[in-house]
Amino acid sequence: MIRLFLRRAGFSVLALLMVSLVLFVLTRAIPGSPARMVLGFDATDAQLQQFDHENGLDRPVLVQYGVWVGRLMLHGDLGKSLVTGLSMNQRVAATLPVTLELVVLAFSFAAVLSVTLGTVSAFFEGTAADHAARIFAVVGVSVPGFWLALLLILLFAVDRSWFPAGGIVPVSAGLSAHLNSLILPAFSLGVFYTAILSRMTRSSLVEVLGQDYIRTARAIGLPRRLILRYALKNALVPVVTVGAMSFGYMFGWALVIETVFNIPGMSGALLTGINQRDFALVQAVVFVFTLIFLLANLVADLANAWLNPRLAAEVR
Amino acid sequence: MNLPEAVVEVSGLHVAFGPAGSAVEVVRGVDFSVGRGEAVGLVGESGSGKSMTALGIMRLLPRGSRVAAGSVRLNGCSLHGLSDREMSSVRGRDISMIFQDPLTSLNPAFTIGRQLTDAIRTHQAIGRNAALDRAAELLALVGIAGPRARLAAYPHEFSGGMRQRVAIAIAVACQPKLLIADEPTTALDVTVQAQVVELLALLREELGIAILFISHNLDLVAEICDRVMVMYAGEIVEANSVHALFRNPRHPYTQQLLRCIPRLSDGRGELPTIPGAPPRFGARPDSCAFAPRCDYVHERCWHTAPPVRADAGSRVACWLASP
Amino acid sequence: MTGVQEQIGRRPDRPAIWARLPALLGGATGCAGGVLVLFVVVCALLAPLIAPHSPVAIDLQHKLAAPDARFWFGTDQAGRDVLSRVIWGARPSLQVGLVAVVIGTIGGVALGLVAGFYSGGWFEQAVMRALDAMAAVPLLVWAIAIVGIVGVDPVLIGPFAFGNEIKVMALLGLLYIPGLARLTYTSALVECQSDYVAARRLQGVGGWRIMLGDVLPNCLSPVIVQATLLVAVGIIIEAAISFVGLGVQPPTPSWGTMLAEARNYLFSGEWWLSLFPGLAISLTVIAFNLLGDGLRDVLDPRRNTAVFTT
Repeated sequence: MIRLFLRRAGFSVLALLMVSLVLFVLTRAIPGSPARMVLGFDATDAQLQQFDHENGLDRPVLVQYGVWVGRLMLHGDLGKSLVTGLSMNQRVAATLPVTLELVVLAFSFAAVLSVTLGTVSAFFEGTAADHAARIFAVVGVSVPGFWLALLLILLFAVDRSWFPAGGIVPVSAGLSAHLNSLILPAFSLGVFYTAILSRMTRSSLVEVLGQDYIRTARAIGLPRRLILRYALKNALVPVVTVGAMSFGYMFGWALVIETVFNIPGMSGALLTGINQRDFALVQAVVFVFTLIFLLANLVADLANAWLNPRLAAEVR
Repeated sequence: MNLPEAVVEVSGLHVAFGPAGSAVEVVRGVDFSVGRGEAVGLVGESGSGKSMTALGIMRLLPRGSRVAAGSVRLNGCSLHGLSDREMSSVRGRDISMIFQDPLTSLNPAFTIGRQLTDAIRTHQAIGRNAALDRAAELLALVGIAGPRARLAAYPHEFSGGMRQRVAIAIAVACQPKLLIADEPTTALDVTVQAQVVELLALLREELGIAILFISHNLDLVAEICDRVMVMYAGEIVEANSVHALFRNPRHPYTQQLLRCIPRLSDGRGELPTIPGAPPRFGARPDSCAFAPRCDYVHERCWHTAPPVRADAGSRVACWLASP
Repeated sequence: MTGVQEQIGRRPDRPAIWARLPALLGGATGCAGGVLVLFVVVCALLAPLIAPHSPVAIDLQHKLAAPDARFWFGTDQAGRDVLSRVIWGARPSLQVGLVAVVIGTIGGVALGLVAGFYSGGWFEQAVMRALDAMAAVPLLVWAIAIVGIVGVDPVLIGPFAFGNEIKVMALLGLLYIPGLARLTYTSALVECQSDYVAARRLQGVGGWRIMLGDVLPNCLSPVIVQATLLVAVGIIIEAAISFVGLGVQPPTPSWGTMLAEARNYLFSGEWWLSLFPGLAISLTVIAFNLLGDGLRDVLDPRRNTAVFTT
């Protein structure tokens, strides 16, 4: 299993480098260098060239990329923004925890709720509860999270101020107030994934419950809770995989939700970078997102192998 | 003949399949009993209803089917009034079952030690270590080498025959009074089949477990069982001691089944078969189900279902035996 | 001898795809989805005819009017009729959703087919590695980043000017390719091992003809299901990208941009600006999801299509 993990990890690193190279080349290929943003519209050509030279922007693209990767690998340094002069690491360190907290909250809520819903749905297959859960799932998958956020704000933050309509209350102002300000965003973010994961849990569990080994378990008189555990350990395998991947995908949607609620997370950094044509910032943010996404996939593989020992024996 | 005290008595069992209005009966009035320590065989083709009978006894019928009539008594108490939880405690402790395909009968995500100890501790209040000891004993009993070490293994690390042994170990973990074996050897190689049958015989001797051995293979049944019942189209058409049945089969279907068993002493030539096919579900209740394929069919067979003639220890449902 | 030859030369006994459509319509979910999809498509196509007012005409006298008899869905901050904008807004959503899927399907199926057919060769390895790498990309983040970098100006190809959404279409289409390629590849691998393909090869039929004529029809079922579900995904992503300002550019009406504008009016009580565009998105996405689910029951009962999360 260690070997499998190392192979996957190695390949992920490679993939990460490849895709960030693609982005890097793209940023260099777009006309209009940040020089003009920094120096202003009335800068002379000579000044622009001077700027480019100082910042290594006139070297071949691959060399620039090499420098970037080198700095990242050796020092863990995402570089400096050319537009603002601020360190990327600092920027990321300031905004990542906010986004991370939002995603973790949303994911936890989604994971717990979806497994519960899916299990209830599967156990009581065909009943009214099952149908209701399935309808919820289809609707949840189709309703865009950011629209749900707008509706929730309208319902709960405008007329009744149960929740704040924007911003995050810092922890220093009280833990419960802090969490309260995260409820609407986390809920909006989590509904979509709750729907997806509950559907998966349900169909996977229904399939497992029809398997022979569950019949054996019942034939030897195992109590219901043990049978549930016997079934879930098998049924949750695909759910865990998709769940871990979802964790990675959630960061993307967190971007949009943060925009709705004015949450000072990575979305702000990304969109600012785009607006200011600060490509170093864009590069750094996308890199971090992709890294998290790949880590989430690796965790999915690991969890998969742990839950299903037979897979660990097979090499992909 | 002094029949041993009955462990399980089945009377007039009907199992139906399908929605209420258009249900089809797959088990049509089955009566038998299994005595303490007895080995009884239930033989029939696929679709004859033997598995459904077993599942009906265990109340493990698949979705869409149910017991339509009849009763099953365990040591005199009816099983049908029991709640789900009560029935669940009967399973494994009093009656247990093993199934045909060992590849899919064991949970791939848990070690066999875990599956064994769960089975043990469900019905007995003993600690984890004591249960592990008992599990190792069971594995040794069913002939698994190095039992202590094997407790940590997963099902996929065993071969088919070994897996069936493990399944048997799990099923007898709490020493049930009756073990129902539903085609336990069908999915196994011939050499392994004999080993499994031997194991069942051994368990019967050592633990005094009664066995209901379901199979389509008369020969295998003959090896281990004292009595055998032949099932066709949801009914028991003949029942007798094994010797008597082989020596003097009275129902035409039994006769044809025995003819179909290939023997080395047979000359070359075509293997005999029984022409036709078993009736599809929904056979008319007022005729003999075997009539279309019977060599001795006559007028009465088409109009009236034959009565069951019961002598000492044997039964047959055929007009030939009850003129 | 001839009997055996006939048997392995014949394609496996499966009804053609178009013969299965009537069976699809029997499924309640698929039916409901299909009807809804049809409704949305018709609205988009007939927008000029059925929209009561112009979607872009500015009429400041009637700005921010609540829904009434004249403006069923109210008006926005420039006095434009929300209902008409919602109807017209179906166009960019459907365009992006459908075009992206078409690009993804053509690219993905082609790659998957060839990789499966010439299995064991360098092409297969290269394609699979490249697809694995592309699977490392979280869709939304990259869509936002790339469109952000490239900029939101219209694209000029020859004498035609295309709106910014064409970048979204192209990008999404590209990002759909790995999933669809892998789906086709797994089916193609299985099909290419079968006897009828071997028979065709023996008959001397060229590789491309076998691929397109024999293998492809048998791989299409899960692809169709996946493609339908991807349309739903594309519509949501287009809305999200427009919402952050990187998709359809004003004044072209798009559900996402309408929601972005509605954000400014949450506290002043113009709820209709938020409700109706979002409702339109939801209904359209539900439609494609239901249709996809119905198709899946018919075409892919063994659930080979992965759940596509974004």
